[in-house]
Amino acid sequence: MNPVLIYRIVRKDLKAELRGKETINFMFLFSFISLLMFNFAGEPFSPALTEVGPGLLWFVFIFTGMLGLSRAFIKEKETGTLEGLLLSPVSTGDILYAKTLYNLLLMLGIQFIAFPLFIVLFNYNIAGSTLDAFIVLFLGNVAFVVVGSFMSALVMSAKSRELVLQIIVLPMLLPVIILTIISLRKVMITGLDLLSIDEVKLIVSYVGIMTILASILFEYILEE
Amino acid sequence: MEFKRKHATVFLGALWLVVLAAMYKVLFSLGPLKEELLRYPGDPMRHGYKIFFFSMEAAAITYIAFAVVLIGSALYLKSKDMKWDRIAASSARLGIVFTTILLINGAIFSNLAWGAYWNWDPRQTSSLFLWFTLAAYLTLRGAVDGSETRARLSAVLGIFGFIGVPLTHISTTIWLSNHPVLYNTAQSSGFSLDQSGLILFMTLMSCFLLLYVYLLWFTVKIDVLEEKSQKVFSGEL
Amino acid sequence: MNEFNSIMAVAAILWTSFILYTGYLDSKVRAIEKRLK
Repeated sequence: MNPVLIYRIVRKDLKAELRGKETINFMFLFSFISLLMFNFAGEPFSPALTEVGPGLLWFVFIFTGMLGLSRAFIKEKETGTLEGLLLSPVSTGDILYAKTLYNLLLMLGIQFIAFPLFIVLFNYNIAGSTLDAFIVLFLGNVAFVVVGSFMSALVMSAKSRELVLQIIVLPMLLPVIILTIISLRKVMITGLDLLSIDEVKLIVSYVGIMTILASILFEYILEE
Repeated sequence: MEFKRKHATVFLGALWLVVLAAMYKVLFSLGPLKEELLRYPGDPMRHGYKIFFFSMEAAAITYIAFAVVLIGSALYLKSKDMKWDRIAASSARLGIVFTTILLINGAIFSNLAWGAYWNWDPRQTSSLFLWFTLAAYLTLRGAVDGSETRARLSAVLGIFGFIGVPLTHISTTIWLSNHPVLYNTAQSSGFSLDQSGLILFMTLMSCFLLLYVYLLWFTVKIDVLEEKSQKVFSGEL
Repeated sequence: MNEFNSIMAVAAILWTSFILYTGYLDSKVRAIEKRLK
């Protein structure tokens, strides 16, 4: 694992993205619009929205993330830059880490925008610490990004990539989604402290297992 | 044809007769549950416990099917022998049939025991999760052209997908489940089988296990023949 | 659905799914046989 090379790849991707801003704009707008629409799912200021709020917030992230994921590897395949990367002295593991990190940074950016938007639009009173909620969101995003980046690499060679990606990634993400929503609800509704929530520890272990599996199996995807 | 269809019919027919006989015995010869095990008077579990004789097999074979997918996928990646890919794929197809059965049986049992077909019990949700994992695997196989690429990519997904099985176990222990267990633990009480019940259960279980193994072998054989017949048809062979 | 119907339903589902599945496999075998003729 070479941190310098990883950093360089991430920086190159970020620069390319910030130049065109296509993906990040879409993701931001999409998260904004979905937050709006989810708000309409219940009466404003009603306790029902408080109940389902954390779940809806997380769903916004999932859907926005799926949008962003499709771009990361598929863009590479379409522009043919993947071969160039493979020929360079970067190890295949590093490519995966770099792509994952890039996706994570995108999701973090969305987090900084969507989370405050959510609190404002839903008029949400977080029972626990706001920082805890933010951290839970972040952990959920890490898990999402680890699984999602790997799966988007997997479906590179498939027909109708975007559709197949959705179908494949959602079952693998189901445990993460459930765990994150439970943790978010515990923090936001019942105000538990972060370290006392079991589900958070489960998310972390899930991330650990998935990262190990992904790094072992990644080279088999790229074999061509 | 390397195997005679007649042999298959006879073997499967015999298996089915055994299963039918065992089912009949379970339904009509086994008595109701003992009074003290009932949760409340008029508990449908009096006779309803017999469902266990059928749903347990579905669960066990689902897990086995997943394990075979895992092993087949791993062995394919190691050896690049297409045989393992075929085994993994067939096990996935069989697996989704068994998982569907598991889901439907679980829903019927859930309705009987707790009044709702779906109750978001960890075990029930996990079996749905298992179903979706296999569906994803089969979707991927359908979406990739080229047998080598398809085998490689689905092998990777197959290994990943296995995590659903330990997850099922974990989820039912950390989030207390209503699901009855065979042994008494601190959290839930189960029931134990007496002699005749045990024999019936073992019979049914081994029959379904045999069925799974046989069907697995059978579908792999069919796949091989299908490939060969495609080649003959297109004039290669 | 009372107890008895439930048990019957469960057993029936097991039974019919396999009859259907083996029937499906059988039709596949027939198709292959036809092609190889």
